[in-house]
Amino acid sequence: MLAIQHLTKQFGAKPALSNIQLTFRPGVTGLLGPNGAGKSTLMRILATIDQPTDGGVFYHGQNIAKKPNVFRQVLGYLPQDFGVYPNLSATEFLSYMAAMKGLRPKDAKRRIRELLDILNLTHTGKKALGGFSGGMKQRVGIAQALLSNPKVLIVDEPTVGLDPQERIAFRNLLVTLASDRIIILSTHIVSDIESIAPQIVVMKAGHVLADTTPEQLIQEAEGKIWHAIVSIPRLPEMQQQFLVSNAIQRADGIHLRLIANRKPILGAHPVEPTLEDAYLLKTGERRGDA
Amino acid sequence: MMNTWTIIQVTLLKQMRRPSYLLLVAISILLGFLCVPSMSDGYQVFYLGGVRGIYNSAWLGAVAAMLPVILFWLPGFFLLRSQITQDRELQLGQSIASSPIRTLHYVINKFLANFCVLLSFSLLFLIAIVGMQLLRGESMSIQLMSYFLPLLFLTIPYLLVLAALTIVFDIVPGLKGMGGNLILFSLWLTLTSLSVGMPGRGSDLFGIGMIMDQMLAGARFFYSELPDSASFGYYPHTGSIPTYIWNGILWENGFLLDRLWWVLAAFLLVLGSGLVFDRFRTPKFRHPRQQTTQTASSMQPVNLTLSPVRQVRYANIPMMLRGELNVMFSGKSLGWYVLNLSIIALSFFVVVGDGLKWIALLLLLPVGVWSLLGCRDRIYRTLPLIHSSSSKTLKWLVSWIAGVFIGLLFSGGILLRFVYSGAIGHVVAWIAGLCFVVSLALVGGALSRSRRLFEGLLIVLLYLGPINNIGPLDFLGVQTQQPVLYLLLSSLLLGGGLLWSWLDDHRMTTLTAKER
Repeated sequence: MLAIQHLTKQFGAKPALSNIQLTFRPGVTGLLGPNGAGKSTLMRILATIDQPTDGGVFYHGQNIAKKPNVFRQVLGYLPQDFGVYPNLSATEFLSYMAAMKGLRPKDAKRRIRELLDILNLTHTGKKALGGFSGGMKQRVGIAQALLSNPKVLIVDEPTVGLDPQERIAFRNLLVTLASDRIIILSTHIVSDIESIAPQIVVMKAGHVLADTTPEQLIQEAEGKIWHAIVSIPRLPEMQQQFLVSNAIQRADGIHLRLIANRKPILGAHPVEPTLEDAYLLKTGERRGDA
Repeated sequence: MMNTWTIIQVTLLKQMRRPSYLLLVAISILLGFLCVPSMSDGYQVFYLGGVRGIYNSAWLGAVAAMLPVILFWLPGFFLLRSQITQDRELQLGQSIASSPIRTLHYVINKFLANFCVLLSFSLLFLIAIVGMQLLRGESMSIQLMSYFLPLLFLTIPYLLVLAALTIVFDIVPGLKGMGGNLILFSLWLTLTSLSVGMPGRGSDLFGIGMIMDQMLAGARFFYSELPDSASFGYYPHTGSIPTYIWNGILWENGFLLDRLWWVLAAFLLVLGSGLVFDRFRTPKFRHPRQQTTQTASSMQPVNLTLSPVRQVRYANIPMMLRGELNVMFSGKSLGWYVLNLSIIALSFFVVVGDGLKWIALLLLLPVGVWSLLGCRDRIYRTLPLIHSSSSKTLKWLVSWIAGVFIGLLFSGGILLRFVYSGAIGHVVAWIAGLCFVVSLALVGGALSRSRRLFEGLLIVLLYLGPINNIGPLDFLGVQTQQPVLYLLLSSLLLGGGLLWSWLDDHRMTTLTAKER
């Protein structure tokens, strides 16, 4: 079990995280939030790169800041923005990372072979990482995070740069891995989380707004999502008055999904909320009737 | 024109916010203070056979023109030589290349920006010197033209040439790496020799010889028995020094015309570089290992079963060391190994004696590997991966051990020769020197976040210490052995560097947060 207790992180006078309390259990936890919510800061603290200003992170009761090297043994981390040594091949780079993680050479060799196979990088042979596409580099990043068979896997915006096929494959990979380990997946692509995360944490401006299940989050939005058709000139007015979760142009006008507590306009009718609607309801600025 | 000014402004701001710029500014001011010693300080900077001019504007104006020429060449060059490369590395290149700015315009803007940064150092130094004239109080009359004319006729053409060289060595293939550093250093030595050997001629870019000759002529007017040579350096003395009034540099038309030629040469160098500049295109020829890898499908839709792995409970230094060495040697060609092994083998046949000082140049072989020690993970943005996987302290230590190991490997031939000749003192001093160089590489890389600072420092140290035997700087002990001093310095650098690395990481996260 990984527990965050009263965690605060300040950069000068600016609080990036304020009194965060969370508990992660085996399975995928989706961390959702707009830019600047504090997701990456939280991830970096969990990954033992940064220290909290106050509070702590406890893995099976042990404060990870006190003995970071012990926690690093069970940790796999894929940062949002990372680089690779351009003149190394995937195998060479992974061997280096395995050495940093303290894997025994024999085990490292076998594990690298397995990961290259799973991530379809075997064919890259001795090609240097400098010539890899963004998606392929991302897969190398995923491989290094999985090298030590981590009990805690932290992945920050992992699907950036992946094509749709790769995104689906990566989500499946996480589901397969989730049975016996804690996976924390940070993203602002709601669909990435919807299908695989039984626990969702919504953050905004350094605070936790919700720590719940997708079903419960959706339930909270029931009766607050509306469908309406308006003419094109009315769109700006609608956007100003209500949270608009979707707008599609059709021959009969603009089809809108609006978030509002009461019927927003004449002719609007309630619709089933999606996780994206529920997320917007949670994080969006309240406007007008919303 | 407005764009040019904006680019210059931005480059100046970018430089002024770097610690290395502030360090150079501090050094400029300190030098201004040190190069105008009072009678009681017990040393002179210009050796004119034991006399000097009184500190009036003419004398100090000449000092303010000469010293930047000698002192700013290497630091200025290393500070600014990668401005275009930085645009490429920061991936700004593609935005610049796709904007309507003309290639030549971009290159000239960079040249002018570099010139302005260099000029800012000279002006700060000049201000410090003017302050020193008032502080020393030997002449309270400030003659502005005595300061301005040397700046205009000597310093500015010189700085234009130096700024042009920062562009040439940033653009022309083959000059960007360590080879370029050595060529630049040789060029500096050649130009200095020409300036001193043929003062006032067309080849005298620095103008030092011309000024010193005139200073000496002025002195001999009062003290006819003075020797026929003048030089620059640290000259201790006891008691007071005889002084004379020197009225300043006489500008000859021929000399001024030659300065114009240098200005023209600077612009021609920039124009030539503009023609060669590839405008951030992808290189036509890439090493087969660097060629783009295509893949038809992405991840395998397989059931994931990973075999168990065992980790050592505490860090395994030999494994980390092996990984570190793999990274250091990766991508090297067969030719590289053959060449280096041949040189290492040949170094065994060096005769221990006078020629030994040149063997210090062996340390230039692994400089490319060493210079990445302290900054590799910043340059390649692998810091978060490394720091979430292993201890920073341990990583620092392992990098240091790997660096020393590489040093020992490249020094294998000469160390065997020392042992064979029974010169154990040399063995100890050489190893202490290696430890010092590796510590310097780690700290230099961590401080500057680039490889240039260490590369520049090493060249200068090799030249001044082991080759020219400026006593305390002979870190390899080829002429003067002082292993204890360098082992101590090495330990200080290691410990200090580690502390800096921690503080720097903290600062980095603060900055990241501010940006957010």
